[in-house]
Amino acid sequence: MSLGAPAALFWLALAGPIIALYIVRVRLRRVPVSTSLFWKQIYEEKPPRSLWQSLRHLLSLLIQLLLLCLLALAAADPYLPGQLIQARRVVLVVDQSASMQADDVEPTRFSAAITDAHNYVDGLQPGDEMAIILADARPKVKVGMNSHVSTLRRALNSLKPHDGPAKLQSAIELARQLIGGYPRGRIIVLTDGCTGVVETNDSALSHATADSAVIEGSETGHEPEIQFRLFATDASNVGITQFQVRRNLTDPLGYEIFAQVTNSSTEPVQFRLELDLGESPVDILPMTLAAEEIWSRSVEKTSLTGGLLTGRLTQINAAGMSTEDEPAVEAADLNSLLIDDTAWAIVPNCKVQKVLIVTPGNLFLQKVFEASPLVEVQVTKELPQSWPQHTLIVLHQLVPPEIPAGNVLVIDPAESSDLWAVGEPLIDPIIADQDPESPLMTHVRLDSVLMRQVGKVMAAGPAHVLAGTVSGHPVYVELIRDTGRCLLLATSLDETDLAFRTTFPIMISNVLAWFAGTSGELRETAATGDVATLDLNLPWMNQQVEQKIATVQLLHPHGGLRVLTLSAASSTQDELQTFETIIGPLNHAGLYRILRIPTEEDAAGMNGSQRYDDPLRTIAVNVSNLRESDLRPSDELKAAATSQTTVAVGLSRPLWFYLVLLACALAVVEWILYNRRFTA
Amino acid sequence: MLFPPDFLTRLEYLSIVSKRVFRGSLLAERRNTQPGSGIEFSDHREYTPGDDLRYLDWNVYARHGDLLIKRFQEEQDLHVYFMLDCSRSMEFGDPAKFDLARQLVAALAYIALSNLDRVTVLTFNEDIVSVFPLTRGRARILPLMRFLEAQQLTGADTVLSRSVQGLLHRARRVGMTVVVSDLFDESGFHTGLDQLICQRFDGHILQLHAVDEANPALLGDVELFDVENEMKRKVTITERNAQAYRKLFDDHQYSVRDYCRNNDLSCTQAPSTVKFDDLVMRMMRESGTRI
Repeated sequence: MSLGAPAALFWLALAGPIIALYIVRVRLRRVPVSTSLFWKQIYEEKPPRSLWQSLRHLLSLLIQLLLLCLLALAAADPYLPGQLIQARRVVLVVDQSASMQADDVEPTRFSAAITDAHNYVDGLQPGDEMAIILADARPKVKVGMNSHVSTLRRALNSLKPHDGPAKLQSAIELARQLIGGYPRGRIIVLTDGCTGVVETNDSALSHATADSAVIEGSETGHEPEIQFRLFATDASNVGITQFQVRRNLTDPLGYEIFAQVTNSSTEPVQFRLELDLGESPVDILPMTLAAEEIWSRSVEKTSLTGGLLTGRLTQINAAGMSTEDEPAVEAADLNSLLIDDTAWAIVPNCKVQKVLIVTPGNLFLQKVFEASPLVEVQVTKELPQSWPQHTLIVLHQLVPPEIPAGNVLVIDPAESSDLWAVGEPLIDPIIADQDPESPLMTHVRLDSVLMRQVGKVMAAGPAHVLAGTVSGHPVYVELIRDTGRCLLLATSLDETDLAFRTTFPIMISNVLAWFAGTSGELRETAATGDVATLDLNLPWMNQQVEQKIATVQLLHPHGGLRVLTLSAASSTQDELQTFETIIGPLNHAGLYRILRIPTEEDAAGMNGSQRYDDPLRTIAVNVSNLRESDLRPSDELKAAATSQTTVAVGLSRPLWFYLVLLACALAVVEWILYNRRFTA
Repeated sequence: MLFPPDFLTRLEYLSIVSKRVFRGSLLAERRNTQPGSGIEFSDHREYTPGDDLRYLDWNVYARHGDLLIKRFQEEQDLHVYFMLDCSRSMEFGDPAKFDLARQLVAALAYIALSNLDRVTVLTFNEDIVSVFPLTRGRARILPLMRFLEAQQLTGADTVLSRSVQGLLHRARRVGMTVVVSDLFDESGFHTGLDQLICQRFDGHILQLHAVDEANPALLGDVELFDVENEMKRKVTITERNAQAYRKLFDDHQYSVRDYCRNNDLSCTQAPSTVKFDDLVMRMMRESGTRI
């Protein structure tokens, strides 16, 4: 036997004081009494200080000395020579996936796994090394190979489950790399088995055999033993596995919700899917799902403002149960994972379009724009001196010689410009052709329509004709240019009845949607474990111009706050610059909020209504993973786990542990002996 | 200090209280009923030849023709004997039992002397150790106190029977005996007290004990040392042994009370922590009740 810390044997010097105290103690304390009359009667039946009593003191001394020896030896950390030779390298792979939060194993799968991991740490023998790898969306090494038990314990205690999936196979590969070619390597995978294809021990062995054939005689030919510890039952669960929302492409006020709910159990269940937009309920969908059924549906709703859309599964019960029935199966048993019962999505706000109508006067034209709730209309009868930015300019009859940059709609131009030339008007032309694929012509049928008067225009540059006459003259055309979009409608609103037709507001609605574009209509919901590209339009103010970076804060769903550095997407120094970065993996379900870094003005409350904690961007993250919502472990892992349950060969704990146990037992014996001297 | 400066004042107070409240019930004014040549009429008896005709009740003879002799009660002084235990066991307690015992003897003796009774004090352990001779009059209280102060704890054991025999040899007349002791007599306290009762002594037992004697705080391995006979005994005192001790002690106290009740003796038991004047008052109350 060898000692890891032989200096601890100096504690044996305490034997001197113990023996000295024993000698002092056997000289009994003399107690004068007024009479021995009564004591005689008590002790007359048995002789005082019998042989056993004398030996009892000697036995106490021996026990105390033995106790000291055991404790000193335990402190010296003894180990057997064979233990050093057979030192192992153990890698604990801890599954951090969302399904590990299920409570079908008390208290949770993850807690049970951590408890089991502590047992492995306790079982480390001298010379053994252990590493901890976290298996989540991106497996990483939490603690490298070391034998410091306290470090390993602290690392295990600091672990918390994530809400994302686990790439267990990647984690095992990483563990294999950590072990290298060490001959007594062992990988212990603490998982619930709710994962994709995983290489088990048998397949690893075959893999190693194939490798060794290639690398014959190589020292790295040792394949580590993989041991699966499974913390799962065939628990039932109902969860939201998809939740997305987007603005309707044709209806600017509308939005569509795509929801998918999965019943991962062998029992039919009934529940309600409650949809809330902000604080307001949007819809409640009662539904019943058969065993293993996946329900998917798109729900159309309208909202001007947008905001946070929340989907919740409530009142989950066995199918066919009324609220008054005694449940045969507890609701908690039907739904063992709570994190996938709620999902979030962001409904983008509708953009209000500014429209400047330059017209000598046409009430129909003005009203058709004002009919849209997303339009802010300004009317002028004269051409302005300067053109406003970010505004749709509608030029009715009045046109400048040079068409301004940006989005422009020209209706019945009276004069030529740099983009077109105006000729004599066409009388009673018939529209013979239209582009049915263009979104500008959605729900619009102009072909075979007789127009009373159409201006004869000829495009000066490239153009895309949306509708044209039999003679080939364009009536409705997109003028292609670099400085912005431009549409030209050559029909006279005063001389024709187009303004009275139902087609006209539809055309204008298409025009507004076309100019507004589709950007921002979809704020895709991320799945846990994903990475997300973040692009923000930020002013240069408070940014580091020279380094072309910007800093913002990322507020995690669980409250953590960290600073993000974004880099400029281009080298221009406009007032608003686009900054980009990649964040992730997003390991927790909920809302990640991008916040400004508070300035001194924010602290002093001088920033008006703009608060620094109003998020610049909100990213909704949901579990959205069929495998994580299905809490039943794979059969392959179940078989692998049940066949490999041995923890260690021989002593599973270091020798000092058993010495301390023995010392505790001796302490109990001594306590009994001591106590009997007073109470027996 | 055994007898503090105000000790006599407190004794005077006790004396007055005893006269007012317990008149005739304690020591003072108790008279022998022995007929004799007193002046207080007691009863009649029949005339027998030889009787002194001066005591013949002529009035009765004139009315009824019966010859009856008048009897008178003879007034005799009461002899009060104090037996003070001065064995080593009396040094126990805080304050020591011996101190309280001496204060009690002084107090009771003062009351007796105030009532013109005759008082003697005998200290004893295995036998009578010293004697304060029979005395009378209140003025003798100071010599008595000096005698008590001079007493030392001696002796190898307490033998009450031999000590009572010593008293009986010395007593000129039958009287009242006050035994102040812890009664830790290994040969038994009954023998000595039986002799007093047989000799028709009026007895009063004042049994004192220390608090630690009633409830010893002893546990574990100790060597018991008997201060009287200096006997050593190595024992292991367990909780059970301590309980047995307490039971034996209580039984002993009960046996003393029971003996006194059966033999018409006054008995007062008290720990040494009680003040002597409180104990005297209690003693007088108990005596009054008994009488």
